Amino acid sequence: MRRFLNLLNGPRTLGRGLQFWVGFCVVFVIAASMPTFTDSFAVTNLTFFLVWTFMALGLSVMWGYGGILSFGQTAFFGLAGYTYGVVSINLGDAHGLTWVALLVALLLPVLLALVLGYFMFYGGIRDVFVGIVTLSVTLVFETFMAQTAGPEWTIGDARLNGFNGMSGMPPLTINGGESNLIFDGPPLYWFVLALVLVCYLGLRLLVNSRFGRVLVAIRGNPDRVEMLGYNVRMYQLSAFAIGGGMAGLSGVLYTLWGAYITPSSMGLNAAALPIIWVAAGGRKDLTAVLVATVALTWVSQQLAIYGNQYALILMGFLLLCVVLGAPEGFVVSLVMFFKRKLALRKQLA
Amino acid sequence: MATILETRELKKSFGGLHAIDGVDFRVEAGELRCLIGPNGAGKSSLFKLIVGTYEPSHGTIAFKGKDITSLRPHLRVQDGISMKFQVPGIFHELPAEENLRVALQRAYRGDALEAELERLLEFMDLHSQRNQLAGNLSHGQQQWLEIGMALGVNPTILLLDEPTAGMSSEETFKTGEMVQKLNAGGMTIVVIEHDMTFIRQIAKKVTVLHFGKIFKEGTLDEIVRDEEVVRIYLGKA
Repeated sequence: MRRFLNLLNGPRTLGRGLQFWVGFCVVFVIAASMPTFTDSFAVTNLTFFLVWTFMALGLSVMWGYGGILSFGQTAFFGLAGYTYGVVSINLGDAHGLTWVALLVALLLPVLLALVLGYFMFYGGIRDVFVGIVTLSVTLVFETFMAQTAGPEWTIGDARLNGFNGMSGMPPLTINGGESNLIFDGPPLYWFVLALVLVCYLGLRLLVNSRFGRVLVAIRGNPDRVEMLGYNVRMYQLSAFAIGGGMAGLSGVLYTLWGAYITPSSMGLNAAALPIIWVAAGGRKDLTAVLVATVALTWVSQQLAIYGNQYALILMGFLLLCVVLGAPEGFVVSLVMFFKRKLALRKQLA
Repeated sequence: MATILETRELKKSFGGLHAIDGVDFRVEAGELRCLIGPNGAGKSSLFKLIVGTYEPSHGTIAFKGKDITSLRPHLRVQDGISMKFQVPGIFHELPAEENLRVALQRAYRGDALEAELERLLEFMDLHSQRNQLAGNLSHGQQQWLEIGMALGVNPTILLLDEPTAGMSSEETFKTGEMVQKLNAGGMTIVVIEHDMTFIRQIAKKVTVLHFGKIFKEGTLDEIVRDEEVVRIYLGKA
């Protein structure tokens, strides 16, 4: 238990100790009770905001902790979404088969990440070239899926539908005797929130573990880490696969949320957004990334009411501000600012 | 004494430049060897070939009787070779203690790791700086930290590439004492250095490299009295 708590409160994550965890529990309880005092529209929106956090957390592990800047998150996102669509439309929603579709949809992005990562890291591709290769994969995937409009682009009963995207996939269902539990509205929201909790805590344990220590060292100096006896490529591949899997989780949950998936979810704009959320929050900290992703997806949605382009302009401006003014991220910089103020006050007192 | 490290006809070329040009280099277990030579002689290149950062153009490298010529660098470290780089290869964003933990955690666990960590901090005189970011340490302390990291993997042979570069004379002397202490404890050490004061402090056997080949080998007295060695060093002694 002590080891578990030490890992949860380790040095590589902001927010430790009783005060933080009490605050965390309060926020979680409020979040969990939202469906009881908000309307269905608000619940749907909250689910939407939470769906993106997995992709951002995965990118934080990959980029913030491991130093691997990947533009491929939306490729894994899209692959998972389309896989869920194809499998669930073909298998149907009886006998718990939507959960089989979910598992398959999570497995494929991880496999793609392992294959792509193997060729990249074991092929000696590093630094900015990882970003170039992953962006190319994303754009190729988007271009391919966009041209699948014809009737020949059908897998079983599932039509890919080109740029219009695939729709009509069944929601997650637990089949009971006389009635089914359909994961829509509040049940889907609670399911996603539970996954956020499990993934956030799990990743906190991971980055504060021995694995996380080596990952952070690789970010700083991969050659030195290899000269300490570590198989650096294996660590990088692992981080990449985790990031890919998390992006896939976002993809399948997004598809469940909206019952559709389109090639535009893998486009250039979509590929850049996770980078901006993670950078703006503070890529080297999971909590900062979680907070920033929820906040920025909310802001983007508010601006989208007035026109999609305003959200994109704001995101671009935000990235510029982060690079020029707060390279550690706004959330992290704010936390460090208040910590310094508190320390100064204690010193003067 | 048994041979622990041996290269045979080792060559490394970069296009037309022969950085290492047929080197037969042999180190006995428990030895303290200094590797000297003018700039561009191939000293660092030889180290990089031994640890696997460079692939040889020709020749073989054997460690503890096993051919390691094609072995990946991290596997050579796991076999017992450890190196301190010419430019300090530390993790600037991490505290000094964390730098050592990265090095230690592969070979040590639990209480043994904590004990070894304390021992290294004490040995490298970094106890008071353990929570300081490695990037904020003085140059000499960074050099010591990296030596500590190189020791943390529990090596059989330690390769030190210019461990006293940029150090004050006091730090240099202290480093010499550390090296002597390690060798007295049985560690095989090969040191690349330009500082003859440091070499005089620690050297038992010296190898002179010139234009990628072994020029001379012998005791320090034999080497400093050799006219040809003095000539290639342009009087630096």
